[in-house]
Amino acid sequence: MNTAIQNIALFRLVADNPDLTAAWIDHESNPPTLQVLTTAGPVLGKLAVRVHNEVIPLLVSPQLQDLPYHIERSDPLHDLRAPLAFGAPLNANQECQNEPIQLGTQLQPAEANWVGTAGLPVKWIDPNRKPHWGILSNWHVMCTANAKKGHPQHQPTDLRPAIAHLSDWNSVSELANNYLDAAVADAWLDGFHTISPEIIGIGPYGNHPIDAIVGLEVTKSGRTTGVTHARCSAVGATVRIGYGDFTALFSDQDVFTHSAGPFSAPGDSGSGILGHSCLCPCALLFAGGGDLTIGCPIRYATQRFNLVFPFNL
Amino acid sequence: MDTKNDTRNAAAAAKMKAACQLTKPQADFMSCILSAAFAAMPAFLAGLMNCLGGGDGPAGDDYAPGDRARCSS
Repeated sequence: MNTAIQNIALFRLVADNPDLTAAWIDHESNPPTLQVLTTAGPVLGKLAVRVHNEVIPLLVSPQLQDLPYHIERSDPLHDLRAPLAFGAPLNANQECQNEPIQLGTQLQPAEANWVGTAGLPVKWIDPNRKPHWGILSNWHVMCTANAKKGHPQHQPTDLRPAIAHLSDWNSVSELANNYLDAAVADAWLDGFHTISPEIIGIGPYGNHPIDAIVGLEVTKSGRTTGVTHARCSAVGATVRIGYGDFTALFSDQDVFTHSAGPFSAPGDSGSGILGHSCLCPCALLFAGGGDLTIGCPIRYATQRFNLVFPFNL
Repeated sequence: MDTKNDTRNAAAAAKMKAACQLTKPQADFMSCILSAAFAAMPAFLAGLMNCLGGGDGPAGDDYAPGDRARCSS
């Protein structure tokens, strides 16, 4: 089955079964196996779950129905913003920094009551071929309702001077099949860039992006859990993500499972996920639940915003 | 009434009108081009510099990290 057909089949499976949180095909197993996660339970070990003493068969598209399958219970997946808090910083990622600001730091859009992570320092080329240096994070972190280009981004709280201004974003839709929850903010302010090429607790990252593969060891630096490690447990997953007031489906996402302690927690949305050995960016963290963390493949952000690597060339 | 004179005057007026139709718009066009070109020169030069520099947006063409305080509040 080619990737496009597989993505459509998995999307239909999750879209048609509201209790499903994720589905992917495990190509590492022989034969390839359909993996399904559901919030309903108990799981009956076949493509059905028991809901209020009623056995509900899962609707499966023809492209998937001949595959062997594995079905598991899971927590719901949700975006990983955190409410704005006014306490003392709990780690280096929550400390206010003077310039040049290392990323992995916490970020709050002006007038927002939430925080996330200013993930990766990135360079992009605009349609007029002009280079920009700034911050890659999530749409749901940097964009308030009716977001406009230029919206200030702060180290909390917004009494502090802005460190970047919203430049472009890829919004998430309740109705569409999504691939990317991302935004970029320009860090050019009054003649200088506010940000450093480095990430807190990691330093400079690798010179080129990579695609995650199953088994890849990864690391990230985020606002709430700091520097943590995980392993890529699936690629090409369709996931259902709760955004508070709506739910959205994403195709072709990377799934990460923690190695020791949680890989992510609310507030880590926007972190860059890096391959551990080369520190090359592979995904943009945006959601999680239970022991799973979900990242958009970095190639979608690279294509959408015309990112270029390395950062300071 | 001097019909002969009237006829001569009408012919001269017609000739003048025809001449104006040929030359006056031409003159206006040239002066328009020249004045527009001079008026637009600063914008053209700015646009040219902008294109050479890569387009609109902030003017930073190189990565230039700052060292300013950002934690005053």
